[in-house]
Amino acid sequence: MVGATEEARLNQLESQVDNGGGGAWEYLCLVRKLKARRSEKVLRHGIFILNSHIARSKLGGEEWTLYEQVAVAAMDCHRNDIANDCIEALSKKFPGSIRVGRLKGMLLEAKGAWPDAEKIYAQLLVDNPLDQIILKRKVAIAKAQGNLAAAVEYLNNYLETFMADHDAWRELAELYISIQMYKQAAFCYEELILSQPTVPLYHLAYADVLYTMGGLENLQAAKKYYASTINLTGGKNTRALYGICLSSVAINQLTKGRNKDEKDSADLQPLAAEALLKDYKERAPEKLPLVTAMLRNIKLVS
Amino acid sequence: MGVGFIAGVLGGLLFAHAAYSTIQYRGMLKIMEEEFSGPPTNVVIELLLGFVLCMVAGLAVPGKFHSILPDSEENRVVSLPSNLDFMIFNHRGRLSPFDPELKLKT
Amino acid sequence: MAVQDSTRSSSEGKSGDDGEDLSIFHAENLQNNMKSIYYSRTFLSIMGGVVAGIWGFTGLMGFVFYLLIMAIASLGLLAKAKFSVGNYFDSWNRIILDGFFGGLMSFVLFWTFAYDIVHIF
Repeated sequence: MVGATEEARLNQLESQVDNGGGGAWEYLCLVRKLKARRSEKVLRHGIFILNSHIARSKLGGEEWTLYEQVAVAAMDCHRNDIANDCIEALSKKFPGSIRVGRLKGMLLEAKGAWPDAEKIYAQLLVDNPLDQIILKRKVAIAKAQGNLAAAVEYLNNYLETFMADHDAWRELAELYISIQMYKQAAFCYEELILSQPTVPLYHLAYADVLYTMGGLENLQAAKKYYASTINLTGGKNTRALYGICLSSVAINQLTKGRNKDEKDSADLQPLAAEALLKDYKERAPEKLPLVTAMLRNIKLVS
Repeated sequence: MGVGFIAGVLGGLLFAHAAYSTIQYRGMLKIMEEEFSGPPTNVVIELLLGFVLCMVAGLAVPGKFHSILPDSEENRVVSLPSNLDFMIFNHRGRLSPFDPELKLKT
Repeated sequence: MAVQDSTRSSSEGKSGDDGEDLSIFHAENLQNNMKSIYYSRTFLSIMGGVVAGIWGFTGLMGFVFYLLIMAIASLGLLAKAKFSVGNYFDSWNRIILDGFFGGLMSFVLFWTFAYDIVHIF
């Protein structure tokens, strides 16, 4: 979970390093800790440190972690030559290491040589059959080849063994959504919410999936989860406010004419609409007339 | 942290000076064979001043309080970490390699 | 998990389960705040002990002085939290009562220490 202060610190360090101030190593450590994907910056500043002999010797043992980080960033920026150099340096220092073997497999993936990459991973799995990262790379290979069904199958097998891996559940949910299997995606999000109930983003994603699936029960559940997102974020999440407005409208359309044995959520819609208007007034006043017109059209505001 | 530290040092010095003055005052009382009923007023003022400075130091040095609300400006969750274990490399960036000048010097 | 963020699981905390989760907070920050209060109170107890010793308090007066110091410390901590305790702690007792008598031993130690230096030796 990337918090606001951490992100602000990351951006501040990034602009500081870009403009020539020091702190490149601190920036790289923070990127590694927050697992942000900023490959171009990492590559540029990482190479800068690795090329300067003084900075490199200051790092001591951490130099090799930097090699690994730069190798992955280079692969992401499609500079496979740099990645190759880094991996060679690492394999000279740590011959026969599984971590270096993984990097070699990733390099083959980046070059597009999927069968060779799979061969290397199969070899590594013989000695370490329960290595989580290699199993995840197999999923990534299937995903990169566009074979989403196989990716889903691999990931399901992985999750049978490692049920507590939240990132894998999240990835599976996203894969299901991309092949439009919404019920299964909803199940994945349910698992995530069960294990980490205080993260509002999972509630939001779950509500989105339920809203997409449609149908009265799903819409009512979606409205509840949008409301819980608003609860967890103190009302600051604009998307959840929109979600409440739209799901209320959809529910009203479905129950038109039916006897409404309503509970108390009759005042939720106008409240959400009002909060939305206030939000836009504060943050984007030039768009306020558009929002007012839209809300008026769906009769949430008079 | 700097201000608090300096305030603390100043307070400590004031205490030391007050202690020294009180010792001298007692010595003087012993010569004059009077009872010690309390340190002289200027020493009391010095003690109080020193204590105020130390209070400032004691409150400022341990650092600010951090908010514990999960939706406060500093604590709110901005994004989930991008799933780097499942990162794939055949995205559009493949078509424009980054900065061909950059090389790793071995 | 091979790639873990060990602070992730410990950063959320729940206290009490009264049906409404008003009580979800950032446990790590709360612990830091509590540590900060503890340091402040200990430091102030020590300084108070030195003042009491130099001033020449004896007997009950000294303990009354200690209570006074702790009360002032509570006020100071309240001011530091800008009087909106809910932002930084989960209950008012944490600032006002917690650690009230924790500094007593340090106070007595430095009180006797300072008193001895100034008045006896």
